[in-house]
Amino acid sequence: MVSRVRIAAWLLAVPTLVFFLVLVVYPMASLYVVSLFKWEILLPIRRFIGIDNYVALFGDARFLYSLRFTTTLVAVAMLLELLVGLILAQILNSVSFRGKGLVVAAIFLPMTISPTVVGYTWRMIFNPMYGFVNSMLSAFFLYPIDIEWFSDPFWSLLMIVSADFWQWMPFIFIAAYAGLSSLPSEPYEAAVIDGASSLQIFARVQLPQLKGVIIATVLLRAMDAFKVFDYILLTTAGGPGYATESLSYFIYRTVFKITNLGYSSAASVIYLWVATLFIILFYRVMRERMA
Amino acid sequence: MRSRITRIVKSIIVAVLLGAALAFAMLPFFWMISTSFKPPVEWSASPAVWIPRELYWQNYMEMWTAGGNTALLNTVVIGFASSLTATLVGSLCGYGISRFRTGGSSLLFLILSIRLLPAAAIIVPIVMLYSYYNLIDTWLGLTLLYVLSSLPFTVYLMKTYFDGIPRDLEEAAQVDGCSLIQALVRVALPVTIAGLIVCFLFAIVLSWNELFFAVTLTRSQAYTIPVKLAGWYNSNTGNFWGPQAAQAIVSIAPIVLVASLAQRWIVKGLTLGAVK
Repeated sequence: MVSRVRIAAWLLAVPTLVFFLVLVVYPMASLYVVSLFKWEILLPIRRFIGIDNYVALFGDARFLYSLRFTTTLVAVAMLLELLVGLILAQILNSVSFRGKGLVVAAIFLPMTISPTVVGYTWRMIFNPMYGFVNSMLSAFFLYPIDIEWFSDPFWSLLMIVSADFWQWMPFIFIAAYAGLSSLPSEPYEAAVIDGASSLQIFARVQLPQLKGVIIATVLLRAMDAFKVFDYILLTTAGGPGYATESLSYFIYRTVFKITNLGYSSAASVIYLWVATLFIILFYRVMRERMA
Repeated sequence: MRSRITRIVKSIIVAVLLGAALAFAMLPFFWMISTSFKPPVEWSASPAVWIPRELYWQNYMEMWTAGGNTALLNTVVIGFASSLTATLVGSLCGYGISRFRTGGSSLLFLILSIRLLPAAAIIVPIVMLYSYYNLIDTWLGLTLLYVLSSLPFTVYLMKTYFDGIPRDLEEAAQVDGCSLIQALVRVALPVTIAGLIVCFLFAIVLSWNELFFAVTLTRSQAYTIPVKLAGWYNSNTGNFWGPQAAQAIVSIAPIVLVASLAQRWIVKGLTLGAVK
């Protein structure tokens, strides 16, 4: 009887597991196999070449660059998003006024729309001729600013970071805001009575209590930022040259441009390892929080 | 007296900062809407025109006839098919995990890890698999992948939903001779209708917005709105800001609607419960 219930319980998970096996486990397993072959799409060539694809990959300046570019982008974006998200959450948490819910909803809105739309909008507003970003910067700094957002690697990176920032800073903000407003008020009140300044209270009392939420959110955010693709396809398409190619974009390009699937597979395997690292970190954090 | 002045200065600073944050968040939306109504003379004007002189609906017409109609149809079909399937499959699995702790904590973690898996990392074998089974550029092909992408959320959400429901009712039903599935369908599911709706909405937003799988796995038939949006620009023809903006509006309008209905839940879904 007990075993029949147990079988029935597992049957409930079967459809989910089928999706998981066919679309995750099987692809992952085949990646490892194919990455050891010279596997041509157009020609009937399937030759075992051991780790040659990996050797070639780590000699490929473009691949190494994409790893470095993605890491830089994630680091810069996380720093900015965390900083501004926390400050904004602290400001909104410390004041109360009518229509506050509406403000939160407005800040939240960018998160919900397609990153493709964000990429398109960024291509439009950063355009040196038809966009308004340069003229707004000029008006702000009272100095004619004429940045070539699409042909200078540094400014292109910043433009993509700003797209990520616009869409996902709200993510950190919402997490921190929800965290702040759910903190118990006693430590806060005690600190106020002891005469601590609001900055001290934030840094010494509230921030330590938020640590768990913040780490979990930033990790999740970092993993998503690492996948960056949509903004790049819609704004610079990896250019100038390959100056804004992320790891996702590199693999996307190989799918269409490179005929040796073994090579693309090897790059994907490396990507999987990076992702696994994030996943392990994330679970350690979540496990502590759930326990 | 002095503390009063500090207070006023403080609230002015806060108001300015919040105003800036709001303007920053809203400006791109304004620009999209504005551009979608600009005639070519205005969308290609330099310096940029902020507000079109009159509403130029031609952009929407052009977008619609140039494939916007097919893109909308594809996105709706794929969205509904994948969201319904993900909700169904996810609630079965969530029920099992909630009631029988199927797979301990590892099964749940395994399913949640799909959320973190980069699409690009598995795209090569997916392309190989799909080419072999002729799933490239089909509704079914994208639908299957969007079900997979929505499952972490639907399983997790339905599990927490079922956790909150006392199991006495189902046990009573089973004593009365209902099978496990009957107890689930007749007793537990009706109570969690809100959870099912949230799952469905979340899944549809996910499929509606997704680009990577769509752009790699569709060609000239099953393309979705994001693919079409990306396709408006190419280096040979240059920019078509107007019709492209109209396409962007079609992409965001329903999402903004859904988001305003289910903001709290979407946050929960996006953060996988990292935020309680």
